[in-house]
Amino acid sequence: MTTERVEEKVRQTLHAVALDRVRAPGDLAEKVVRRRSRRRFSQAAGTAVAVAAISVGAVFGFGDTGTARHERPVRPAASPATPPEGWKPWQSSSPDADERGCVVDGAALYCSGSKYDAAKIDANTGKRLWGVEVNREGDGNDHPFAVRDGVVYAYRNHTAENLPNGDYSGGTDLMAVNAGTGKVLWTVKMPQDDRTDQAAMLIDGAVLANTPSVRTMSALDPLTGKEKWHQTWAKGIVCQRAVLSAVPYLLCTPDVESPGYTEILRLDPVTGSTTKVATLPGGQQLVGTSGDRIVLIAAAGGDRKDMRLTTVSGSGEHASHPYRVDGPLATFDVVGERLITVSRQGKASAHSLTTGETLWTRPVGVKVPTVDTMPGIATPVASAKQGVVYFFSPNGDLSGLDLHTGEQVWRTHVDTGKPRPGFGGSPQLLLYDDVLVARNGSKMVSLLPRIGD
Amino acid sequence: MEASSHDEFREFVQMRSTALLRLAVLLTGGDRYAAEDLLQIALMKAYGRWGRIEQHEAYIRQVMYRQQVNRWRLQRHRAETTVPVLPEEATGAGAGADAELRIALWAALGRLTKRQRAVVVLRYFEDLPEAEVAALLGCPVGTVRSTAHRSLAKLRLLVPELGPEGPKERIQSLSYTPKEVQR
Repeated sequence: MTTERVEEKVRQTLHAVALDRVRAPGDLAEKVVRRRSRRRFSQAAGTAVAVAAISVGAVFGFGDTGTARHERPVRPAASPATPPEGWKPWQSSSPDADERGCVVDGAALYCSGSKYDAAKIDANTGKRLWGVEVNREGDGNDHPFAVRDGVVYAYRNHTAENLPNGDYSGGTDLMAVNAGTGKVLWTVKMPQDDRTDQAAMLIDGAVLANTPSVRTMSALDPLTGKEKWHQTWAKGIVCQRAVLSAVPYLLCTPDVESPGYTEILRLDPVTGSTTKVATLPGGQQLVGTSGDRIVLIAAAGGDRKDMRLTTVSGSGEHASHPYRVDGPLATFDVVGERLITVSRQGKASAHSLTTGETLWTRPVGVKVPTVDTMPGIATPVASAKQGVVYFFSPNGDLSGLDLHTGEQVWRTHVDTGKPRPGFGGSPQLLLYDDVLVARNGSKMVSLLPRIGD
Repeated sequence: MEASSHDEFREFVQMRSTALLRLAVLLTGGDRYAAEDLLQIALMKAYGRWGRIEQHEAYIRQVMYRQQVNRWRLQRHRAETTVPVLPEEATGAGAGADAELRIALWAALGRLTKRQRAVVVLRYFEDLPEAEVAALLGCPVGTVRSTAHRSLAKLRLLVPELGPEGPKERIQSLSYTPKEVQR
């Protein structure tokens, strides 16, 4: 074949790629602004930063690389795990139904995949029970985010149609599905393609959703999707959302790179009326919630290595503790009253949200992908009953560390294969009672960790 | 950044990010996550100097291309990551042998180095002349030419259906041969 013909074939190939499936996330501008802000902190700490800011705080370097400090004496290995009735170890048997992730409720997994926007999978067997087919396509990192009173809440494309110029128009709907039958109960159009945990959440008696505009939160009737009330904030303000004991809170800051303050507002779940409960200095980033406290992080002072971790109660009482930036993180989560972090160097740490102390720092026990690799490790999950926090790497490594000491009490390796293209996000780890469900791409493995074996 | 610039930035991202992300997907060989990362990096750089940039989109595209080349420079000691791609992504409306060839070619494009892919996308997707590609990447025209040549050669190796260089190349080659050898 001549060079000209090869060039033409390359040209045809590049133009034949189905790019109309590719849509930028609706919150991209916000991600960029936050990531840039975080990168400046990390650069000050002398760390290399190239991590996509998929979630808030993902590149903060928390931690203390010093020796482990045990608040409690080392205790024997955790209580033995017991399987739920009817459960047997299984591997994924529901291709196209789980690549986007799952949530556990009762004895079921509710998942999203390439062919199903919502699918119910028996957590005991891995068998798919029903599925809501995708609206043209199903890709991304979203999955059902909550189940309550027999209703599953998930996302799907608003339309399967193309725009007049031929581009796929897409858009996102919030969707409620009958958990027993898989019947779609209602859909509500969202103003952007944000399908993160900030887009919608359950509150007392309603679903709080970021609709119909990007600066509005609406309480929707869980059974009909009809609006009960809404709150809108002014242009030039951005508000993060958190829920404590089914009561919603807004964390609002000026929409600038270095905001001077963060106001915390409580919303009445019945009427939507607001009460300011606290004003904190600087731009506070939501890390998570711990019981009845919101966990926030912000830069502290001129030295960008120094940060402050703040907890705020529903009544506005707050306490802050200093943190030292120590490089980018592979993952983190608030587990009980601890902030569990994993550094890109493979160190897991537990910080007390009450005292601000580093309780322990230990090897995480799984391979941590390099900073240049987009998929990170799964968000850790903890079994309070066993007193173990579990970690899962995309290469199939699983590790369990004692929540109190950081000592490794269990590890194994599972074959989760390679994720399908377009589903290269981080793996996911779920707890079904004492059973672990590890998902990487489309493959899921359900196993019972035998602590102490 | 001033509030007006900030609003302008947001508006730009809302209007153009999908088109830019599509370009990033090509540059990263179909890796959606790496593509978003690349776009975010370019947008971050633009954000910091938004008010001083005249052509925002051109600037961001240039940063994306250069970032891709820089990544190659930083990571050239590592093996290239092959990103598998769903066959239907490259089939389009075509069917049969042509569609199969495009599937094979798309897979092979994913195995080029990042630098090679950047040059291929600029030359054959953006249809830019070599001089403009060189200006965008900040390298000599000769480097663009040799990179494109090596990219096509690698594609021939990876996709046997493309076959060896055809008769035209041989004729061109002969035309540069000294007369005494031709004889």
